Amino acid sequence: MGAEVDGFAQFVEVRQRALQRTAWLLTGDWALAEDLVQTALVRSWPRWERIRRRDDPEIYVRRVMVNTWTGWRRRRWRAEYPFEAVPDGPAAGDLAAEVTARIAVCGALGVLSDRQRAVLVLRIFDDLSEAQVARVLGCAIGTVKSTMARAVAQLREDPRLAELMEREAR
Amino acid sequence: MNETDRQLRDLLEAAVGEPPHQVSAEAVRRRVTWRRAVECITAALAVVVVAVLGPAGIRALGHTLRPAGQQGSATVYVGGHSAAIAVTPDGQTAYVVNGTSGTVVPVSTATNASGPPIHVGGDPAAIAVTPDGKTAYVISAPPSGPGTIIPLATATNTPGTPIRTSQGPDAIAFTPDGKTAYVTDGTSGTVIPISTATNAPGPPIHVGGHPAAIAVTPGGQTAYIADDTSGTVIPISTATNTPGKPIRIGGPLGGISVTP
Repeated sequence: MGAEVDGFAQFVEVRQRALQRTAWLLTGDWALAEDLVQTALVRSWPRWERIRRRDDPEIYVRRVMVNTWTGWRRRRWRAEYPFEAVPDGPAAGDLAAEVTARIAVCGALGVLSDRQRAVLVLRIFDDLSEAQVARVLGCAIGTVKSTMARAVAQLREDPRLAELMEREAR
Repeated sequence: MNETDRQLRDLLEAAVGEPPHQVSAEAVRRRVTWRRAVECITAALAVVVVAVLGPAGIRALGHTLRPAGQQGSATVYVGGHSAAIAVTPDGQTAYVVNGTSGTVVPVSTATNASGPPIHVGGDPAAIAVTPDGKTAYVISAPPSGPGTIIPLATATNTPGTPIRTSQGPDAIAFTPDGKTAYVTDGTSGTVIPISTATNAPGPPIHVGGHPAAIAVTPGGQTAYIADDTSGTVIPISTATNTPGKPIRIGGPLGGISVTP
């Protein structure tokens, strides 16, 4: 049992942060993100040896994660709230900038369809290739391209995000 | 990556922050163990229910619980994680594979009574019965090490010598004449023909991707393979054992069947 379990433990140790960050961009909530990553790993672990042999484990786990997330969205999604206003007064310095970015990003991502959101996060944030995103989502590369274009177009229409991007560009 | 993409990426980076907790392999393992424990308890409870009520009691219970109009069927408890099922061509026996305990449970379709479990070992995941009904082939994939295919004589319900084909056999189907079994191997992206007369595997047919399911046409000329990762279906000519042009379907493909 030793070797493959070690491989798994190592994978979790090295990749859990990246997976959780992706999961946060999908769910907008750290508790849900953690649960999503754990659930994806729980589902992958019994088949770990085979996953490792046949495939890029990261792609497989991400695929399970995205599928689990879309399953949640269909069944019992209650945890995400649109941000209309900052709940409390702004904190000082970088924290305020981070909170502003967080609220703008959460709001903008919330408008996208599940697939648009997943494509955008995997492609832009995780820097996966179009082919890899296609494998994660189980769709054609062309679909990834068109979904991505629509997602970006949609985000451009978000005023808060546009403002932040402009500020950054300057 | 163009300028807009980069800006978006920086924004996402700025928004994400750091996860408050680490996810540990230990926690994942605990959850898997817990899930398996729940499965075992459920199975044990089912066994207790069967033992207490007996077959007649189960049928009576089924009749009481089921709404009118659906009378006449009953649930058969075989326990564990029932992963796959196949019925003999004469329709008398259903073979249910039980992944948790490494067994195959024969169920008489006339009485819906399950027979003694047949131990095949490993983690049986798929099963198919030859067209002549004499042998059931069980695919068993242990958590580590190569998978095997175990032929099971249906007359005696005894397992024969395991056939080693490759790393990770996933699904199995027979040609209608029963001479060849085709086994998909997701690990190596191949399909392996096995002569049922000798149980000797032939040279693997490379189809690529992760072939997850297979079905053979009633005429027996073509085997269709569903590729899990690329979302395509690949026809294989059974005469030459060569793959044809993939048919694009899209989506992760988990199963396939052919109209009779």
